[in-house]
Amino acid sequence: MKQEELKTLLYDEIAKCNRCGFCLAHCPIYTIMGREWATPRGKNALVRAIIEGKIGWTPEIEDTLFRCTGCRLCTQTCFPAVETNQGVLAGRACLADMHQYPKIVDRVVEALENNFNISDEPNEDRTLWMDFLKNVPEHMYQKEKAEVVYFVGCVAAFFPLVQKIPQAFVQVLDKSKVDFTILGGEEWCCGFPLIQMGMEEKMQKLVEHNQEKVKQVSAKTVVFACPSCFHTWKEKYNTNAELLHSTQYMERLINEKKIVFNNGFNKTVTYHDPCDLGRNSKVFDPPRNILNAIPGLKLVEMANNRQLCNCCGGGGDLEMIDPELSAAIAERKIQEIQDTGAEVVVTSCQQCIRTISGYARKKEIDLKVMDITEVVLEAMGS
Amino acid sequence: MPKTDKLFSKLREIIGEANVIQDPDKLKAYAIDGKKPKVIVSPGTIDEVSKVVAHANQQHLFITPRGNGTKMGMGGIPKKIDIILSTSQLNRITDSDCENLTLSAESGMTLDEVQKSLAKVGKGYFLPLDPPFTEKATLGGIIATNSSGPKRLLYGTVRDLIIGAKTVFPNGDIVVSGGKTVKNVSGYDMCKLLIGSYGTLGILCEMTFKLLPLPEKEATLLLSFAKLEEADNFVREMRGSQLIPSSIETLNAIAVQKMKYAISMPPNGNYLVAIGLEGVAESIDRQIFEMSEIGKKHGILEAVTLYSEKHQAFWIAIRDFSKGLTEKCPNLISLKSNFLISKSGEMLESYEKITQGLGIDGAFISHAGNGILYSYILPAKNFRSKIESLVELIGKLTFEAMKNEGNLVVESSPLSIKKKVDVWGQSRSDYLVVRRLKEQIDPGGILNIGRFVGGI
Amino acid sequence: MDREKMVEELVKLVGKENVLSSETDLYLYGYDASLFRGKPDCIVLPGSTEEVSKIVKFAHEAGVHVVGRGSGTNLSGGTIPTQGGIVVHFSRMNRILEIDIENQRAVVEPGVFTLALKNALARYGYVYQPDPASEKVSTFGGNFGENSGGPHCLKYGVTTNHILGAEVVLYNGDVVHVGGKTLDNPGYDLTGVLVGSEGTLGIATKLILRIMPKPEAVKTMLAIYNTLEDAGKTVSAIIGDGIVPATLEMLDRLTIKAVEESIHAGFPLDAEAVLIIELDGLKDGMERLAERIMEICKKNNVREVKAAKTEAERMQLWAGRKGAFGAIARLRPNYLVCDGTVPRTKLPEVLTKVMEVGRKYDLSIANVFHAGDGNLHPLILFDERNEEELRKVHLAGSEIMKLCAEAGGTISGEHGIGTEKKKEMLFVFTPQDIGAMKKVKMAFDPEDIYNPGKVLPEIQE
Repeated sequence: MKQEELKTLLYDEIAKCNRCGFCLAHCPIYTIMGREWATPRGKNALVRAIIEGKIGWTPEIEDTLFRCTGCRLCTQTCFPAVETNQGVLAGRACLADMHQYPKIVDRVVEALENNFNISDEPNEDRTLWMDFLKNVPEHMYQKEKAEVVYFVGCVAAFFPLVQKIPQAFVQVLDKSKVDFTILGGEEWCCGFPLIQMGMEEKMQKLVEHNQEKVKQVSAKTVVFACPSCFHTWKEKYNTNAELLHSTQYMERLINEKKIVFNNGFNKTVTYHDPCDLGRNSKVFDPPRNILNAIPGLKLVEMANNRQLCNCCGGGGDLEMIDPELSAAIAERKIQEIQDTGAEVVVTSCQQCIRTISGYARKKEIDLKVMDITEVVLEAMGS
Repeated sequence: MPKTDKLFSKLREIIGEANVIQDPDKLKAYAIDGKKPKVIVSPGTIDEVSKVVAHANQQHLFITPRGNGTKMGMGGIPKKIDIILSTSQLNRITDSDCENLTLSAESGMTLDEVQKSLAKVGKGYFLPLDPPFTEKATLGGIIATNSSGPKRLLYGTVRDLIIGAKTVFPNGDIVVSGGKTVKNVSGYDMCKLLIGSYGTLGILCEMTFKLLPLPEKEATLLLSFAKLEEADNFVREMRGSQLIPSSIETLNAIAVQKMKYAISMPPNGNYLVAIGLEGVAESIDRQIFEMSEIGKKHGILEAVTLYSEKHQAFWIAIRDFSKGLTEKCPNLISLKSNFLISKSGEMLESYEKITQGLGIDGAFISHAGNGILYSYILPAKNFRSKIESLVELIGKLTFEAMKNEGNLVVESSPLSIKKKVDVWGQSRSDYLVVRRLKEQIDPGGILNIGRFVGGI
Repeated sequence: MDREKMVEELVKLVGKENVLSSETDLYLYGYDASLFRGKPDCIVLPGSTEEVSKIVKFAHEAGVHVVGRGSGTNLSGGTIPTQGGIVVHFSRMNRILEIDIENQRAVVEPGVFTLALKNALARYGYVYQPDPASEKVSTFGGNFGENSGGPHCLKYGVTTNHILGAEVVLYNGDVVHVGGKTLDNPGYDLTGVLVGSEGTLGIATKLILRIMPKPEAVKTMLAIYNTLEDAGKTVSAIIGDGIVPATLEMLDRLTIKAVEESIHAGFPLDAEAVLIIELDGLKDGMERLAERIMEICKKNNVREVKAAKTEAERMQLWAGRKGAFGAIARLRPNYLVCDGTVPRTKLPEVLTKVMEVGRKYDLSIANVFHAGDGNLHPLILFDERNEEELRKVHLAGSEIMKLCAEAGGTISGEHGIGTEKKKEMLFVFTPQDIGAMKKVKMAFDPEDIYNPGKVLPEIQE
């Protein structure tokens, strides 16, 4: 993106920020860093200063713009609802245009161009998570035609810590007798990381490929356990298929009595709203309805929940850019979780699980983190 | 004409012959700690005050301001007094605006006069201050000494109630601070500086206060206890509760004894807790009931409720406690200690022990909800031989208050004691700023020199 | 002193990571929530009193100005480094040091958010009463500097009535303690002078606050009016009847519109004005008082009075009130808030004149105010990118100040004088009054180290 476009697209939006500073109370980055550059107000001010030609593209601006989790809690709590994250992403796009960004960005872009996924592994390895699964059907969950496509997402497919999500979710779907398929090696990255890096124009190839694959399977519905894939599809894809997050889909299966809880789940749990699912896609009730439908389960809310839920620290690819900052945000999140007294924190996003349990493991904090698909599977029993 | 006469003739020129007193007998009556003034002036307007002060500043004459003289024994020994500036003729209400809950009045008015006038407006209003001697104490004196009473628990002190002031500074400038709006952050909050400044920074001439509507109902609950610990436990529970008493006072037996003239039937016991209640009618009845119940838990001996005249008489007796004593005991020493609120019981206990240990009678009245304790030390007959031990006593009591983050101020004492102690207690780390303020505002050092903290 | 040298010295005192001096950072610390701009020489983030003391000592020796800053929510340009110097940002000093329930005190560092303390106190059933609209982000250092107000100040008084002591770093780096946990400490009431001095006299590094048990009961009512005048009359009538509620807040039609677009607070869009009336204290007699208030509202042609039925409903009404300023940007990007205060009976008259000023300059004005204490907040709407409009806004703002002063009021009730209202100080004070304040400044900060060029206008002495 060029600077002139920045002005056309965002000047009026950013000008709505009257620097009241209320966002400072909520921004996870400011809460940790305590510096003005970290604030949404500061980000608005910088984008505005660039538009007005008062400041150039300094290295500090790059640091600033790449430190935003995209949680959008600032917009949620901002009375004029300034879309700071849009300014941040547009700013990153300008930086990309000038090849001014953290080194790691190139590596990710390269991986996406070579492997169509964010890992360094070949894309055929997308199904390796099945190796640890018993009773995998012969078709390896890859059918030519199916009612439903389960779009696994890169992180859940490649990162061992969260492969439990596809492992659990396919079992839930199996047990509920859903006619579904995954795309296996033909699933490409949804393009979310490219948006975050300010290179949205590079995602078109991925979008078209994925859309085509879904069409070939004749699927009526695409289901995602990853909120960011889900959100990206909803915002950037053009498809006739119905797009649902796993929580929405499982809620439907419960209502249709296809998911039946034989075991229940006798624990007190709290639920963490992933930013891309909750605030950014407005899916708040389905996960809670699911949890409340499980016999024995007691749901307690965190002090900040639903629209006001605090980010885990893993949003907007922050973990990749600045792992320390991401961890510090996770630490605060864990405190808030522990304050509820719940035995388990349930969420519905692989990135949230990675950030929260990753930090807990490193600091040897006894905290059980589960994806909602795992809880459902356990509660279904045999 | 002698030089001094020339100086004073200028005063007569400014405020008129009748308002300048040089009669030696009268001057004697205005002496402070034995220091006699050379002249007493009673200006009638703020402009006159300004001119008098400007003149004094030019000629380097020492001024001590005075209202009705209820507090002249307070503070350190004056260095020198040339002029006593009496506010007696500054005695007008300048703006009574009950609709806006504000009142402006000149500093020479007594608080009682103000209250009487406010009570007559509409459903009745009042200035929520109840310092000692309200029938005599002037507004100026009350503010200059930051005088307060039991009701401060609910309403706060002068610093919470004053919103504007007109003061004559040592250079003669008439300085207006604040205004008549309850919220005001235009410039520095100069009123705060003047409160409790003992007239060392300026002559308070006119003040504006926040008012409140008179409460619907008032009552007193007196509870007696055998042990201090029981009384203290009760008070602790009171402080932490959601109930809203207007005052909580704890008295020891000697204090109760001395108040017998005011309370016809004091409850029996060694310690008396007096609770003032005012507010919505329903809340008074319920609080009396609940507090009595709480009292039972802590072993009250007797509970008495007072209303109307008896209620009023009781609180006047508490406020004006020293009045009855000074006549009988000319060597009375009044002390004011401050400390952490939670230490009210412990402080009273240690003060009783210390006085008893020295064989001296002490009447104690504690603002138990504020962490303020008034001690009235009643030396026996052979006072002169006791001076050393009284000085030692004051030191010990000061030490106890300091242990609990407080201090001790000698509010009145015979001159012989005053000469041997610092009436302002232990000096504080902020003294250097206090001194610099005095130097900046009163560079000539003419206002009430010697009587304030650190000999200011 | 050149910047590089300054940074080098400061880095020695607080570490490299706590000194900011890039062009970007200097830009970012040049604004606050007001319309003013400045540029510091560098920014320091101290972690302790000792560090603050060292920074100030260094600044004093080097003859560099020091400007304290919390969340930068100041509405009068008080945190703007108009003459450069070191901005001391207190975000790292954000610990609640002590909650001392039995002595009814809390001790906090200056960077603590007001609401953070309130949340911590809630566990004990205690409250800190002042409630500036920005409480979720306003820091105690800022509250101390500005003597912040808020709706509940009608009953409980402003910040100064709740700050009892402080640890203060003087202009030369010396640390002194003013006031304390105990009351009536002998000496001048330095705490009282420091509160509201807008960072020009000293920097507080610790604050001792009064806390109290939470009121037993609370009742919140929303009174809806077809005319602004009736709402204004109700305010005077309630007080005139001898009732002092905990709050008496007013919002006008334009504000209601902006708020309702932001969150659904429950203010009717077709009302000309609403009052938020809250009673708190003992539960006894509260219903009777509420009825008396409703009677008074009716006598003054109220359309409807609704009582909040649940705590959630109550919170929603307050969320609407507290977000009113920010919400205004739904209508126009910027606002100038005039913080004039008048005797409350003068409200209707002054309000009419305020609207006339709006018409004169062809500017929209929205009104939110602490009606109970006569504290107006006319919000003049504009777009600061339009220079002509900006010029008119400043003129209109000044005119509104003037008419508040003429009505027996003052030019700031709670937002401070800062950079914005210095010359308007002469609307309410004589050169002698200002001269007296200058003496106070000289006593605390003879070398003008702290927050230069704020509060006090130049006068001929």
